[in-house]
Amino acid sequence: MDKELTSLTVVFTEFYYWVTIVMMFLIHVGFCLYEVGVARRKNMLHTLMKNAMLIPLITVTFYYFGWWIYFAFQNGPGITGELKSASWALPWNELMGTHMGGKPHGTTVTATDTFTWSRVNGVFWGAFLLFSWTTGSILSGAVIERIRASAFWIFAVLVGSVTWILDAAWGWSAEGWMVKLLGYHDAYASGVVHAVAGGSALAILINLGPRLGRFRADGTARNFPPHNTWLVIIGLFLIYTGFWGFYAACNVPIWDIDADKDHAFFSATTIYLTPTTLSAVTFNFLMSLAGGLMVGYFVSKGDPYWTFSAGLSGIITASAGNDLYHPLQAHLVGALGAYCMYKLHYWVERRFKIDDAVGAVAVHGYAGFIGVVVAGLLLWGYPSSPNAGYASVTPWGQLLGAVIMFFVLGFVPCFIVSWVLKKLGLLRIPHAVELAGMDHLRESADARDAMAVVDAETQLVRK
Amino acid sequence: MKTGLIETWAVNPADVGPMYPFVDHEVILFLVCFVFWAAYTIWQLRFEWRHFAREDRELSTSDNCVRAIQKNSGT
Repeated sequence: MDKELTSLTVVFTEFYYWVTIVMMFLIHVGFCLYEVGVARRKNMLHTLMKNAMLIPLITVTFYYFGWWIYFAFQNGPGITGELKSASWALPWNELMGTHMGGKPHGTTVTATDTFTWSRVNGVFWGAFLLFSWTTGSILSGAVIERIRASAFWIFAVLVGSVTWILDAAWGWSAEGWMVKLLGYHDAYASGVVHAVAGGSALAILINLGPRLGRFRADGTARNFPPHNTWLVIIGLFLIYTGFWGFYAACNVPIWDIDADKDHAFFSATTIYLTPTTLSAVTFNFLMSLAGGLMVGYFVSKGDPYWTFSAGLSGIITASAGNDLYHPLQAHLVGALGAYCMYKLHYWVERRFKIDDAVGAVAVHGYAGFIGVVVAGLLLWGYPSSPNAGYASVTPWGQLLGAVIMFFVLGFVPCFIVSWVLKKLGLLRIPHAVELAGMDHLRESADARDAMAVVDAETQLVRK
Repeated sequence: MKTGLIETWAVNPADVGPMYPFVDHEVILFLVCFVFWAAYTIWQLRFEWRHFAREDRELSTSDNCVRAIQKNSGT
């Protein structure tokens, strides 16, 4: 840090990720508003706390083992190599603490490690952590009003600190085996975050079952209106806002992309170290949002909830290739994703009696899956990496990647765990509690306290 | 099969131009998207016209309208 330009680059990178974390906080404010708005009044506070408490639980487990998984599992292990050494990511390592970047204290890290990670480890970990919270929040909305919070928090840790970060090691890192062998390309995490969370949610919903009264005897669904549609929409709007931070955090802000070491050429890159620009990302984010919103309004006949949800799914569908798409391509991809998302949600609901309270499986899971597949067609033949010998992007590589994300790492682990919890009677709340409302006892206590205050005030007046 | 001009990233970045797929098809792409926007606008105008025509018919009796006014009086 004794060279001014190097120091400027390091501090800029540090600050860049720090700002994205602040912006991504809005995603979680948005998810809280959104879920509480969708829930019926009798379940509001419980819904809020179920979602909010994923924050500390994913944070600590991501510190304990999630961060290490990202670096250690990039080869599988056993697919393109062994478990990788990642001492800077172990929770007891000096680089997971406050560090000036000087001489290492122990022998597990080198001077290169301390220089590289002392200023970047925390902010990079923090950016990834916010993605982890996002996977947990995606699950949270689908299962409201009948899941036990304890069960949900087990899933939040499983997806937020294990399966999503494992899929990131495999398909969202510069040296992940899916990038090397399949040419997997998923710049803004259509599959890596959204499909894996959507697949996880679907698996849990199958074992959890629908809310009581959701389906009539003839199998048709009753609509459970949100108790506050306005709150839901503001929540989705905040998620859009936080998503900007997500996109920026998915990039490396400044990197020398010139393969010739005699020259330098600095650019923003994706996580794969392939070049892109924030200008391109800005065009594509907004145009894919526009495509989603327009088609969402059309298919839902102007329903606010589905229009805004479709806007989000438009961004998610285009995310896999938004580093490279033309803005008009991103617009059409977003439009396609929104249409498919809406139709699939209702088809799955009718056909399989799946009660997804917020459409999370569709908005994130199906849209994410479709986005990865579409990227294989639109970006066919593109190099997946600047590294020599890596597979290029192909439709079959992307399809296999989408299947790995949605089913192998998303659906399967959560199906197994939710089945076990169900057999142990630990998955769902008692039916009587569900009918009375999860806030029933708190509301009764609050009502008694309020009456006690009224009595006390009445006594004061009578004195 | 290649949809873009980029075959490898191991080139002089200063020589890299458009990175999106299907370069030289921008005009067709623009026309498709423009038609999409125009079709959406026409559909939305007609949809809204039908919606308000139906509502107007339902509220055309004074009883229905008064009931609607009273229902919304608390807001």
